[in-house]
Amino acid sequence: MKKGLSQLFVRILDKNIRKEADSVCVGFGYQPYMPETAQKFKRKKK
Amino acid sequence: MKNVSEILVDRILEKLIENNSIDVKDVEVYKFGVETTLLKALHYTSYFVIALCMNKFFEFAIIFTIFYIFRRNTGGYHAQTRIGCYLFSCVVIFLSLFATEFSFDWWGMMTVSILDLIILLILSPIQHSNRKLEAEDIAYFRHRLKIISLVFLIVYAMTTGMRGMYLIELYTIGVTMVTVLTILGKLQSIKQS
Repeated sequence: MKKGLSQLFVRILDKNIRKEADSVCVGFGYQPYMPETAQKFKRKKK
Repeated sequence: MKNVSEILVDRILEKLIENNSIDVKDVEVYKFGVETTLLKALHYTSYFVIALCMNKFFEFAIIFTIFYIFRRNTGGYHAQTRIGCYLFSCVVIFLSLFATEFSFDWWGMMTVSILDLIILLILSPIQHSNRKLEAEDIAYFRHRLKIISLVFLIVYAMTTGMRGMYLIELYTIGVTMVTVLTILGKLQSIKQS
């Protein structure tokens, strides 16, 4: 159960990172430092 | 010394590594993911509460949709701290919803919207120091902004044809909000360079 929740959370994180890599910035709020690996995230996944 | 949000992010990452859900070598990218996800959850919940308190959920949905579609491709102003950005964002949401209390004539809204699009097409994308853009990214976001602007104008014209003046007002507030933040973002980047 705990493992399942973790994996679900990681899936949400994956989608979020991909979305941010495909945007100029986070829509609202503080812009955290985006590492180079995140910028390549979408392209690596495809 | 770490603040509360950094401690929370670190704890979540530790748990994910313990459960073998993420690899240690991916910690940096997942740190970014956890931080943005938590910040988004906090921000969006606060905006919903503001919209519900003002009894303007419909207005919020339209304005925020327009804002978010453009903002992903324009970038713009971001405060230097998490708390500063949070307070600033909540004030912007409140002001944009408050602006719906006033009515504007169609020609005025049309003129403002066209000017907004011209400014956005000239200035965008605004690069933030925490989000580096490569030349191909800049070209891609500019291209996407042109398509979005065209679709926006078509929807604007169709809504005008259907006499949806209140919707036109909401579109105008959304795109004006993006433009103001884009101009502020440009000034911020000039100041920092």
